[in-house]
Amino acid sequence: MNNIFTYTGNPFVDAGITAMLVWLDKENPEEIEDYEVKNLFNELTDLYVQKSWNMMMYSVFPNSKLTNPSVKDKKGEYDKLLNELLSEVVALDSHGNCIACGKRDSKRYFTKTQVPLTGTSDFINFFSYGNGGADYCSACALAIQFSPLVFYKCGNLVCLQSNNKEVEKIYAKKCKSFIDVQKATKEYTGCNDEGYTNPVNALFHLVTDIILTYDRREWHRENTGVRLYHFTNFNQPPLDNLSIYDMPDEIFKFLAYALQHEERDNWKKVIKRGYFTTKKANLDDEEEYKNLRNDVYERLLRGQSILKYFVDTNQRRTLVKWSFLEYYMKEVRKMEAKRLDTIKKVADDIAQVIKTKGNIKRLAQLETAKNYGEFRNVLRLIIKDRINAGFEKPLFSIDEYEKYLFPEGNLSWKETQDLIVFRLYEQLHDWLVNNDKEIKEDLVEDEEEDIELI
Amino acid sequence: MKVLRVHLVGWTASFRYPIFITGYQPTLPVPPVSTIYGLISAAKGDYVTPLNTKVGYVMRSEAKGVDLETIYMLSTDNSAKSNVYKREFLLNPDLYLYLTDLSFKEIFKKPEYPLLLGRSSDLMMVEEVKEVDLMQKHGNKRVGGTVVPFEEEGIWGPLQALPMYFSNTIPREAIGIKSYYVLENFIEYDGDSFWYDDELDWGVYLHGQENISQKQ
Ligand SMILES: [Zn+2]
Repeated sequence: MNNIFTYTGNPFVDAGITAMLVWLDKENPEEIEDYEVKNLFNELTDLYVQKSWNMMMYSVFPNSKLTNPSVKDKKGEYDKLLNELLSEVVALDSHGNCIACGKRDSKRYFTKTQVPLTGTSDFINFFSYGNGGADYCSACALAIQFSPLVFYKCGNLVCLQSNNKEVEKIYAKKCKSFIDVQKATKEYTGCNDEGYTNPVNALFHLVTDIILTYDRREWHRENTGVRLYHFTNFNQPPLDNLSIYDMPDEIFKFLAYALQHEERDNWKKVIKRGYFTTKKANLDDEEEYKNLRNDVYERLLRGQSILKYFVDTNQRRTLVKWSFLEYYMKEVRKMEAKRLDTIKKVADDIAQVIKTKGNIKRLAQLETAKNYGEFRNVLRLIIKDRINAGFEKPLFSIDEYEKYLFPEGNLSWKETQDLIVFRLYEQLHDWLVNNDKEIKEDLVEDEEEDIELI
Repeated sequence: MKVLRVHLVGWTASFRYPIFITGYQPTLPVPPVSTIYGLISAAKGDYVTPLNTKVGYVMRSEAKGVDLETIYMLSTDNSAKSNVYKREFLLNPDLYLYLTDLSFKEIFKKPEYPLLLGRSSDLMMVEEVKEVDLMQKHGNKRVGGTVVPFEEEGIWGPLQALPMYFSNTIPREAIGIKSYYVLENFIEYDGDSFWYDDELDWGVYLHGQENISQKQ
């Protein structure tokens, strides 16, 4: 009998289905046959009774036959449960009350003993009509039994979910090869554990791994979001026994772009600048920093700008090229291409004036302007500089000013400032280094015209 | 197509993930379709399902917060224990509801029961009830603040199994459970499965009868 399984949107059911697909080397859930599932039982029960895996079962299926110390034949008892569930499995229908697939009826109620985070029968007012558990059909409950194969250890456990089923499979294949090694060496260590305890860092690590191991170039064609359910199903749940971390598709695509870009190493430098470090942490040793909070990662997940990490203000240099920044601004920050082009053009013209006049003070003024008015005033002074230096074309038109430089005035001025300063560093860094002496002299010159506001 | 558009606002909203009964209760960023049919039923004071009207909705909120809440856990022996949960909630929910049956206009002007979005504490107020025209607009449009069935091409987002509505039988049964994309933010969508609200400049996905398999 095939047509038992289909993706459901339930993270644990889908993780179990993905595990079965990878273990059976199949493409679609609908192709999985019941006898094939049965063939996997022995491997599953063998694994779950190994000490390291069995320890983990306290956080997945507490109070089950797998974890109860009074149960002598854990393998046999768990095998019995799997077979019972399998015997109750019917093919997918068009409707049903199962809260995962909705395509079959539930034959019994399930609690956290068989389905993580489902509560106990002490919560009857949380279940439909005061029943003693949740309505899962036996096929979905069976699929869930396979989900620990693809869990990831990060303090608590992680169940990974993506709308891009290929991503789930790539990740599950990694889990399988990891388990294959355990089987071959008979050294059982439980599900994949790489020493991460910070779920945000683990999310970026896992995604990076998925992108790099399978060096695909087509990530930009798909919209791939990745979600981590970070949980423990341990007996006495602390209040924070579940948290959800989402990586939106534009961040996934940006990472794929950055990791496959010639500036990949520069991107890594940007990330390193994001760690909240004490002097003691050694940023050359990944083990020392991988669980420190990282502001670049956290900002990316929160939808905040990481622009400031692209420049080194002390050395007045950029860590990545404009083209890299441009991708980030367009694809992640959703900035209009015309606005970016205008800012770039204006910054290039400013760079030219600064070089021609040797006027480093203007750069300092652009860098330190604290509000919209101050920043506008520096631009006005640069326009005067340009006229004095004999440039004929204006720095920008009124149209460019209103539509692209400061489309929302006060609200957008800071972003414009950051981008102009970025481009000035990129254009002027070498010139600044070569003219270091003159620059210092220039900076001590008189302070005319500074206070004047438009 | 002429539809009824109801604009509702509130202070808080909270939509439980149906699968999690645990110490930490996250909220979905937007309601499942079943919550919408529940809301309409409250307004009408009678049972409303996809057989009565199709519905579309766009919900946004300003922030997410976490509250501590005392809960009572009932046991089969009728005893009750209290416990403390952390519950996520959404701040200042703003919901635009679209109904294909225009006759529901009056019920939102004078709802039969209090209008709630999520829990009994999540009271909603009707801001505006208006007939509007939804158009077919080809090409790019922004869509979000809603759930969309997993099969829908050109849509992406986190997935979740959610019900479409509940039966009015005892015991209640969840009907039309399937995998949905849960669209918190707006995305650019190019297909024709959404209608378009010209005034608010967004796409509207209509959930309705042909999307469910008949049980009755
Ligand atoms: Zn099911």
